[in-house]
Amino acid sequence: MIQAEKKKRVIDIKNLDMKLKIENDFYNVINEVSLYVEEGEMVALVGESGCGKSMTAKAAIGLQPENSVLTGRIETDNENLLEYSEKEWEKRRGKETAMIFQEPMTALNPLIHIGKQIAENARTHGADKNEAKQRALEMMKMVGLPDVERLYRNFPCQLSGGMRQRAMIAMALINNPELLIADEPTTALDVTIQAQIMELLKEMNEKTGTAVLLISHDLGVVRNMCSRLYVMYAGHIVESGSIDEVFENPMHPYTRGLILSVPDVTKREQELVSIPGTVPSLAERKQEGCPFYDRCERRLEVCQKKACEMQDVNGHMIACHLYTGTQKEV
Amino acid sequence: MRYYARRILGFIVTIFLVSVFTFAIFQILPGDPATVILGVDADPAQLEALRASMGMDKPMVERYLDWVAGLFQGDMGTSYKYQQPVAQLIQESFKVTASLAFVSIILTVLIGLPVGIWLAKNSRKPVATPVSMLSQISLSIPAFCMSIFLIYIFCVKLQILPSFGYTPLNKGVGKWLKNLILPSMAIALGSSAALIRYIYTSINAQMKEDYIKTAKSKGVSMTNILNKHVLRNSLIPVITILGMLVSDILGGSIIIENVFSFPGIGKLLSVSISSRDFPLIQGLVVYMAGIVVLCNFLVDMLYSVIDPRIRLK
Amino acid sequence: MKKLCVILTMAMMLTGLAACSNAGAESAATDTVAATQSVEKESAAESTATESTAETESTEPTVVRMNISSEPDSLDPWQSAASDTSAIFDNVFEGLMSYNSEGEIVPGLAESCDISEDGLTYTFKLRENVTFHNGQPFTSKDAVYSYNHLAGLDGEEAVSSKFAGVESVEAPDDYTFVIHMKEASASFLALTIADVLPEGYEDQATSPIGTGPYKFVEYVPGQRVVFEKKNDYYNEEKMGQIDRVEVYIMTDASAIVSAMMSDQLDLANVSVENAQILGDDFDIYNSPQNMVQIFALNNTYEPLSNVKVRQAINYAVNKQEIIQGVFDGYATELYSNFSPVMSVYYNDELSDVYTTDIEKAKSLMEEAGYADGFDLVIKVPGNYQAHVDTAQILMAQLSQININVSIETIEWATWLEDVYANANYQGTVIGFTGKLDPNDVLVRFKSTYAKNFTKYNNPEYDALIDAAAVEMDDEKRIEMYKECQKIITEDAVGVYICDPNLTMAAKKELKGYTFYPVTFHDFTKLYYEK
Repeated sequence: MIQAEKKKRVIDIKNLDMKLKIENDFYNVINEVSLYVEEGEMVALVGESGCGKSMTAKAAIGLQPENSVLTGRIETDNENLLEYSEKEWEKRRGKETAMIFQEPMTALNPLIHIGKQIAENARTHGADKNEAKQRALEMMKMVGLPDVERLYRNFPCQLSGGMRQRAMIAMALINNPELLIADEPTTALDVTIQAQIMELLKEMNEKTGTAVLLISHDLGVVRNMCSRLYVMYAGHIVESGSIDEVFENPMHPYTRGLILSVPDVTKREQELVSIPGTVPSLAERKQEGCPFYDRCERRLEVCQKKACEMQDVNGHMIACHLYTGTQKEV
Repeated sequence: MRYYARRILGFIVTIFLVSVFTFAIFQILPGDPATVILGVDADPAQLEALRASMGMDKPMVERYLDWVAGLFQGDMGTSYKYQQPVAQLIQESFKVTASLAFVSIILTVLIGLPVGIWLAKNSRKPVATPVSMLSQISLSIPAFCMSIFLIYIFCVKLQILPSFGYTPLNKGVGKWLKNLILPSMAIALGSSAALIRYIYTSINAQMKEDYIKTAKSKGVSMTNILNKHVLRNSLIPVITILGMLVSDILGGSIIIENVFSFPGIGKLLSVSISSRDFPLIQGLVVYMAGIVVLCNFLVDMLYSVIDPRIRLK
Repeated sequence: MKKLCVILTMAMMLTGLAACSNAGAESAATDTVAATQSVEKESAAESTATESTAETESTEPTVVRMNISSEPDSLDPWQSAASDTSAIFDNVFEGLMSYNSEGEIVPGLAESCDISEDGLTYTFKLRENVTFHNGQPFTSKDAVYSYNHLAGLDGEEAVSSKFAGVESVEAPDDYTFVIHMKEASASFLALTIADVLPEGYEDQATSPIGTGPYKFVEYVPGQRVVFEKKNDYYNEEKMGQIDRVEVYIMTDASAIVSAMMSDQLDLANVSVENAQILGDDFDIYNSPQNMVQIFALNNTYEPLSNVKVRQAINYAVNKQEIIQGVFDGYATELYSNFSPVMSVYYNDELSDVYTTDIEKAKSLMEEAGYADGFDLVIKVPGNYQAHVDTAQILMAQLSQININVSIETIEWATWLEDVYANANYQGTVIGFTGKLDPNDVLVRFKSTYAKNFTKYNNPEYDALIDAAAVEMDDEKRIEMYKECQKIITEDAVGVYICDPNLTMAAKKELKGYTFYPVTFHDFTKLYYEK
């Protein structure tokens, strides 16, 4: 704990709110989210689809939708990134903060050589043509792409999904960023490839020291990778802590549900059958009470009226009335 | 290779069907080419002589079969009305129409491309509204009205451009261009408006693609994203309409060619139909089928040049 | 006993009397009157002014640019029948005889013509100083070649069946040419305006050659026909004044107007409507053109086969309404299938046969048993807007006598086949262009005429028109043609509506446009006023 506090936070999100404006109505997408990643660390952000994980990630790199309104703070290097201009963001993106996406098949421009797209990230941030190319080739080797000289001149359509995701990782890491946001990087890939890519992310994290914020709906995947974990539900962080702590002692009913439903590694995208119902859509979300109330097996009376504040239980953060010790179950 | 063989076969079948179809239509349609050519005052002897020289004394089916046989030997027959080889007439008119197509396409691209891109870039700014409206309006103006409007401005009021006629390229590029500029404009103003809409939508569609997100996450500026990533991708669908436009103009713009007294394919077509010039009509049908097939082929070729996904498949 | 008819020289023509005639048995006829087809013609155009161009200092060749609305049907005059083609090519080719703006037959390549008393022998004295445009001199050999060909005496198909009466031709010397006829024909002399072409020249269809005051230069299909003045033309008085005439083929009416306004045409044939648009900046010339616009009726179609019904239609139609509504007043009302332009043969006593009278029309309909009317389909060629508009007015007028008209607009080619060749129609509106010979105009109603599309069948009329064709006595012949007009008016073969004016717009400085009773743009009369 003491050591950790010395470490720099490459991103520190504080009380972030995101509202989406759709046809003159505002909808809460993210509520009071606080989250940080320290340098060199791998942190997971998990939750079902539609929980606001991707939106949080996008906000962290300044790519939130144009119809969104953000309040709160996203800090790094003592600056509030929410006050960044588009120009400042352009300087930061790809350099300090990089991102890779879920769908490697479409995330690359189909008409531009792979190598050039990787090098473009270096070029954009000041490298000259040759240097960019050299660095791109190095990165390509580093992420385990074969025959890089030839591959440099290949088009995305000539690469398999796994290779494309490797290329994406090479592209994201070419400027040796502090933070890599990996938004479900393996969801679209075959199971065997998934493991390879995860292995690669871990390896790159160790080799380059780039911190990773790994966004996933798959608790099984993150368990072996990350040191800390945030659990998100319907725009709220409901629980966070070290991986071991949370897995051994899940407190929030939602987290429990998630862990109980950890799929068999061989059955990808298995439905989380043990939690009844689905994440409410933006329009269905209630303004008051615990966001998980409707689906909670252990809900209390108070949960309907009032959401629980985040509380620290021995470094294990939890937002649930069950642990305030004063309420009865319904 | 099999691909090309299939295409050529398809071409032949198309031409066969279309020519049989035209043949059938002109069987049903009343009208005798000799009378049309000579008019109401034709002497019976003149009519007979003309019919004989046209080979019209033979039955229609026999004439059709003769025509098919000739076609296989590369002979498209002789026009009833002009008494010249059909191939030569089409060739002459093609030079005119091809010039028109060439200049029109250049103008269309010169106007449509920059405006379309500009509009896509600035679609949120207030200046975009009048531009977008203007392009909508010119899209909805019929080519005929556009021609009259242009003639009024440039010929009647300013008197700087001729309102009719065609000068061949070998008489000098300037003269050639002078005659071409207005009819080409009349075509280009409408088609560039279509192009603008197309580019605009295409760019907007591309902007929603995942690779744009990737480029943004690299910190690539909006301008560079547009120039280096979006444009080439947006152009792929645009090639399709340019291809359609080319085959459209080459197939003869009857109205434009009439208004500007342009001796092109469109003019030839309207004359051939109104004079029931059967060999010429059939020749034009073959020509047009050929143009459409060729344009499609060229568009496909261009696709594969631009898009590696097609080339490398 | 042989009485000669001397053809006077051009100088004598200035007296205004054409003179080629065959005075028959009647001794009263003098040498100068008789068969001239003179026409009193008001032409808005000024007459020629030969002196005016020579003074202009500029050495620039003078050019007149004008339009025609259709492609030449053939450059070979013997293959051509379209009036738009002869309208310009009559500047290139000449016949033994020619015609002037009054519609009179005057000497052309022949200085004079002797017609034997029996009307069977025509002896032409040919001009001696004439050359074709390729330099070849014109002699009687060319005349023999041409007439052998025209009449099919050279073993080939005759160019025109009108020359069937020719038995043989001969050339006693280089400048005398004789035609022997099988039988006498009053209208044969008018036929000798047929173009004479050089013997042995094969390329008429591509680069035509004649003896006329203008040479053919080029024909660019779909674009233009260009002519140039023949500088060594044999007749000073018919010498062209404009160096070059460019005739542009333009089908679009608005294109013609804008070409005039933008100084790309100097002279144009325009509609009355467009003439008014051009009005202030151009001179507008207007003249009857010897055309007959007719509302033709199919005389074998059930209700129309009844003469009372056809007369009722004639009473119901108000021609002035059409003249005002369609032609803005620029047309001459007709009463028979004959324009007053052909004044000699014109029967001027028919104007009150049918005056618009709806009551009368109704009672005729009742007599015919059609008090309740019937349905009538008028087929109109859609490329002639004036005829379409006329049909619209007819529809309204005929509704007054319960005839329920519907208009079917058809393509020109369809009209020619369905209506003109096969008489597969009920009613139609069409215009026939002028002819110099009254027979050509009136023979349309002869029952055996190949294109008798009205299907009118009156043996009396057939006999009369046949007799007129061989009647060599002019007075009698004129009377016969007048009688023909009367018959087809009284029998109400159709409704003879009007002779619409030919409207020409010319630049103010371009003078001399001259109207003829046939469509002919005489280039030689045009000149620029400085």
